[in-house]
Amino acid sequence: MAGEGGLTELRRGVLGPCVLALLELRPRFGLELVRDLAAADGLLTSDGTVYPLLSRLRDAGLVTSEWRDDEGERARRYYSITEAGRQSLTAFRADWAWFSATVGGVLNHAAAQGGTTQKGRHQ
Amino acid sequence: MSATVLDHRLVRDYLRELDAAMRGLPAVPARELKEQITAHLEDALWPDAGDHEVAATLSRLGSPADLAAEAGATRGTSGPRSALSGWRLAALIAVPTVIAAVLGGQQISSDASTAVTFGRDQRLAQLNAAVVKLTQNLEDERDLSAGYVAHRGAGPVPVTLTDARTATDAAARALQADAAGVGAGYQPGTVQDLKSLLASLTELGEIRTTMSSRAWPASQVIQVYTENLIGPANTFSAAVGGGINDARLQGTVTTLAALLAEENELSVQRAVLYAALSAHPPVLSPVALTSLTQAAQQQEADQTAFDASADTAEQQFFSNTVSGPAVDSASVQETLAESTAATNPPAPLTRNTGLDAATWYGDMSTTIDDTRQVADQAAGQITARADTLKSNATKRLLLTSIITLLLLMLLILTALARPLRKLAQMAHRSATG
Repeated sequence: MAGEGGLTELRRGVLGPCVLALLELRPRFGLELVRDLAAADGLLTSDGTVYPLLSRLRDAGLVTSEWRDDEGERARRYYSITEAGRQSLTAFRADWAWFSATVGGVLNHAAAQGGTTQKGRHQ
Repeated sequence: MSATVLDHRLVRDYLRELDAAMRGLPAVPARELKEQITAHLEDALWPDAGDHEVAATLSRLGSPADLAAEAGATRGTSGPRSALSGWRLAALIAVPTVIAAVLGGQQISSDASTAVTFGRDQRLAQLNAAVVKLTQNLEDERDLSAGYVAHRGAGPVPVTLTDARTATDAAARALQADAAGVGAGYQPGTVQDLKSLLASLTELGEIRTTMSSRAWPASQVIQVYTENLIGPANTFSAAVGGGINDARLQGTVTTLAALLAEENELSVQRAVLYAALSAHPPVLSPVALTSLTQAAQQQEADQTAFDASADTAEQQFFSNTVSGPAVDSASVQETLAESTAATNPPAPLTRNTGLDAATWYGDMSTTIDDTRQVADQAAGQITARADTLKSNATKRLLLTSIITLLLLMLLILTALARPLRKLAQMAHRSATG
């Protein structure tokens, strides 16, 4: 099995696109994002990792942030997706579909072959 | 500022640890991370949150050292952006690579199969050359055998015949060695012809002993050798073109088949008349005369087939080679023998004619050897052509493989170049900024 190390690397790779996907729906502030991501079981190793990630996404021009001072609320930094972010997300969706289908295909194929071999032994 | 969770003891400790952990970071990202974390805590916790709740939130946040490391170490060089370009990079490399590999693979596989096909042709050409050699040895053995049995009561087998048998056996062994491995992948007809030929060779020993012990007449010896041994060999040589994949090769194979047939008919004529001249009395019986004239007629038909198949150069080579005093003399001797035998009852061949067994055998052998020279040249052409085709196909296969490999490397390098340049720029920026 991949173990925790492999899973961490997987999470790290997909977390950015997941953040972009959440921001695609509407702008969110930090804790909101953390909670939405934490709701998807197993996606976050720790809540804090989202923040350096958000900074990197902003440096890359995929998200922007702005302070909002909503009525009755304290000022918060809201993150929203940029046009580049949308394009990047679209590209990732396609890549992911291709990649997961490929990996899934290989994994299932291997499993199916194992099954066939077993069946063959019974005959 | 009113009471806030930031004043909580545990939070203060946490933020102090974070400050310490971020000491190596540039000021801007450090300030930003601190701001993000404090905002998170302020949003997540009420000012009056208990120790337990605060501790749980801080624990979920992750250790300050981990956060600082995440903010610093991976900043700008990896993380989500490079995860995205990582996927793109993979696709960028994989798609052209797979396409190139598939197309190149198809070409390589097609070239490889061509090389294999021409490899088979080469094998068949070598095999055919071995069969031609064997046929010639069998003809010699047959003709000498016919003379031997006609020379009734002559006792031990003459040296010439023993030598001929040794030569036949050597040719048969060479053929058997060449035939090993001709099977799967070859034309079924060719494989079958070869099998029949190899099977016929196993009868050779029995034919030789029976010939002496049962006192076969010469005509029977000629018939048995011709039908049981030389027949299968010539069938193979005539049909081997069907198993060959090159038109020019096939053309030469047809030419060679006509020559081999002609050579055989010449040899039959030599055998019939040699046996008659060796007999006591030296008489050409009506049956033998018929055999002789039939063989001569068949030889003419074969000559016509050769002329139809051979190109001008081959025809020229034939008429230049199969000529000379011995060839002319053999022709005169045969005509003389036929007219002598045409009397009723047939007159002894040697009376007042100057005909004798040794002269006839020698002159007719020259005619046959000349024809064999032409046949050998055709067989050599076939082998050379097959060798060239095979060698070209192998070269092509090698070339295609190298080109495909180079293209693949070029594609991968091109796909890598842009991301690598970007990486280098980033590294440079982070080093200088």
